[in-house]
Order: sequence, then structure tokens, then C-alpha cells
Amino acid sequence: MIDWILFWDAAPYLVRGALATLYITALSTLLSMALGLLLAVARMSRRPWLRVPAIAYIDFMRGVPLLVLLLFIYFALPPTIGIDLSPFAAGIIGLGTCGAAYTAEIFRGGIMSVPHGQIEAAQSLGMGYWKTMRIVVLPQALRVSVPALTNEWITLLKDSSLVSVIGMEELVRRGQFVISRTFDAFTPLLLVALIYLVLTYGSSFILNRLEKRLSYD
Amino acid sequence: MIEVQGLTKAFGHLEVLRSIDFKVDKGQVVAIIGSSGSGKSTVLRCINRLEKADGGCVLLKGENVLDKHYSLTRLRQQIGMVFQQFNLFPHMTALENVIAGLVHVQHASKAEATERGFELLARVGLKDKADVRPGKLSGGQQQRVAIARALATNPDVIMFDEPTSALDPETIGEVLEVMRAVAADGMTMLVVSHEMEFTRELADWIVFMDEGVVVESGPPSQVIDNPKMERTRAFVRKLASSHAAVDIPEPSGEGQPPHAATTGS
Repeated sequence: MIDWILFWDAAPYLVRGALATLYITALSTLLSMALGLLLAVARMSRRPWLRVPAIAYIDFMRGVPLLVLLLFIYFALPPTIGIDLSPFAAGIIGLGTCGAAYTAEIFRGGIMSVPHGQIEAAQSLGMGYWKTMRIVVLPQALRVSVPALTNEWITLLKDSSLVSVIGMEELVRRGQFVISRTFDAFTPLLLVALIYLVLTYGSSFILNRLEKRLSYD
Repeated sequence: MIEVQGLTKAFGHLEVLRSIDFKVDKGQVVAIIGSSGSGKSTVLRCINRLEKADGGCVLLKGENVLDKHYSLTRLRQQIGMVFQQFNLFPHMTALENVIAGLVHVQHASKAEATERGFELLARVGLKDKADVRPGKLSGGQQQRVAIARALATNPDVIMFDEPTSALDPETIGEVLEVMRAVAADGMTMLVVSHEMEFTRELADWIVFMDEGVVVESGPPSQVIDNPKMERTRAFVRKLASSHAAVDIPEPSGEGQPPHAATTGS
């Protein structure tokens, strides 16, 4: 059962691990949003040389398990192309490039939800493609995408635990350290689970508030 | 101002426009009438190239705007457009909608644009709604904002694509009132409309279209009151009977929406 002394002893150590978890999730989310936006626009392009690679990328990333992708990026890629990747960098790249595939589809849905009349109105004012996108389409598409992006953030927050297998010292990795030092699995894992709950619940609370503030009717 | 010559357009096998010719002089109000599916809206959409015409040309101040070397941005700054469904930007306030073209296309300073925006909102009687988003406005109010938006960039011509067709009957009057004021200011207007009385009162010239051709054109006194062609006669008769019950409000005070349509006896 719960070892309360261990619980309070390990808590600060694990909370610092949770900060690392938040940090890598935030960075990979930034990467996945930026890349996802580009992919979404490319995926909807009329030009096949933009569209086809975007579709291939999305299908590939959604089809390969994230764990395999992370192992590949950390263990297989660096020696092959002769670079050196830290677990941190490999983790961000893996989470970000994989998340980008899902985020791209979220953005694509958001962009398609904007009525065509909006685009025509923007063009009638003299706006070109990019201006129409930036000023009229994306602000509306992003609002529509917020609930799905909240989901994606939570998924990424939990999936970031996978980077423990390549040695990134985040919440789960630290939990494992505590287990191996104390031979007690129950208390540290309970604590780890609780911290994830607080993180996910807190994020959805904040993001739901944001969603309400962004809605305009 | 605008001269449409031999304009053709097909969607697949369907020939929507088969050689359309007409012109709009500076300061004139030209109305295109005809039953739905006659290609009226397509004419407007081909003029500002929202739709790509298959053939013919559209001369704007003597230059063919359908030429692919004619800049789209330049074309669209000269021709404003008001849509049936308003198409206001829902994430912007009424004021931001009005000045969107000024700020983002003509790169006017924020202060300058805001001043002009308030002036235009006052002109359509909605100055007090400047900070309200379209979702909170009635259809008639939204369309008035859309007219202010079309006016903002100082176009040479404004095209109205069935501006009152999506409105509740009680808000049609306020939109027509604003259009009447815009016409009185000397704006060149090309209007696709079903409002027969309004068209008769305001239009200098009427183009009656059916099945992709101009059947008859002339002043309202001819096309509406004394049509030469059988097809025109049939259309006018049909429209007159369906619109017999609609009251067209009298012009009221400046900038104020009329109340004729909403106030009873």
C-alpha cells in the first residue's frame, strides 16, 4: 500500500520530472503546430508536388507506432547519417513530427469548415491567397480547431512518457528511478499517475476557458 | 465605366452565359433581372473574376479586366461586391469588417481607417454597432455593414448580388434605403435584384436575362412597364403577382433606416 514517507519524499523529485514532461510537450506541440499548419495547407493545395508528399507524410506518421519512431530517430538515424542527437532533441523531433500529422488533419478540418463565401468576400476586397488565409480563413479555422487541439495536447502530454525509453529524464523515467532505488513500485507509480491526472485535468480546464474566450457568438 | 462584350461561361456542358453584352455608364444604376438560373449572378462573378469567364471581355475604363495580365488586386479594389449571404467576417467587429480592405489591402493607417470606418457605419445608420460582431446583428444590419465594407475602399463600381434575397421581409426596407442613398451619392451600381419596385424606381437601365442571353434591355419604363419581348412580359407579370403584397418603404431621413417596413398602422 501507500508508503506515505516515500510519497512525500519522492514528490518534489517527480514534480521536477513533470516540469520536464511539460517542457518537452510544449516544445513538441509548437513543432507539431507549425509543421502541421504547413502540412495542412500543402495537403489542400491544387499542386500535386505539394499535396502528394503531404498526404504521404501524414499517412506514414499515423501508420508507424510512436515508440518505433522514437527508437528509430534516437538509435538508428544518428549513426546512419552521422549526427549526434541528445535524448531530448530526439524526443522533441519524434513527438513533434508525429503530432504534426494529426495536427495537420485538425487544421485541414478547421480550414474546410470556413464557408467559401468568406474566401470570396476576402478576395473581393482585393486580398490574395496568403492574405485571405492569414486574415480571414485561419483565425476562423483555429477557433474551430481548439477542441481537437486540446485533445491533441493531452494525447501528446501522455505520449511524451514514451521518450523515457530513449533516456530522456521526464516524469516516467524518474518514477522508474525511484522504483529501482526503493523496490516499491506502488507508491511512485501512483504518484506518477496522479501527477499526469493533475497535468491533463489542469490543461483541459485552461484550454476550455481559452475556447470560451475565443468564441465570438 | 463597365462594358461587357460577348461574355460566355459554361459549367461543364451547361452554357450559363451565351454571349452577354451590356454596359454601365459612370454614375448609372444598372439592374440585371431574370428568373433564377438565368445566369445573372454568374455575370457579376465573371466581372470581378470570382468565376473564370470562357470568352468575351469586360472593359473597365477601357481596359479588359479579363486579361490575365490585369492584376486581380487592382480589379477588385475598383469593383466592390455585396453578397446575398452578406459574407461578413464573423471573427471581426462591424468596424473591423468595414475597414478590412483599407487596413489589409490598401495599407491605410489604423487611425485613418478607423475614422473612415466610423463615417461609413454612420452612413448606413450603424455607428453604435461598431464594436458588435456580425453574429449579434440582424440580417438587415449585417447587409448594411457589408455595403459599408464595399464602400470603404472607394471603388468605382459596386456590384450587388441579390442583396435582399436572404433577408427577412421586415429588414429588406432598411437595406434598400441604404442602397438608395448610395445611388443618390452618384455611385455606379450593378445590381442583380428581385425587388421590382425598387428596380423600377432606382435603375437607369435594366437588363433582362433568360437562359444565358440578354433578352431585352432598356430603361425601366420600357422593360418593366412596356416590355417588347414575350419572355420579358411573362417574367414581369409573374414577378408582379408574387410581389404584390410587399410594401416598398418611402425614403426617410438621412442615415436612418426606414421604419415603413416594420411599423404598422
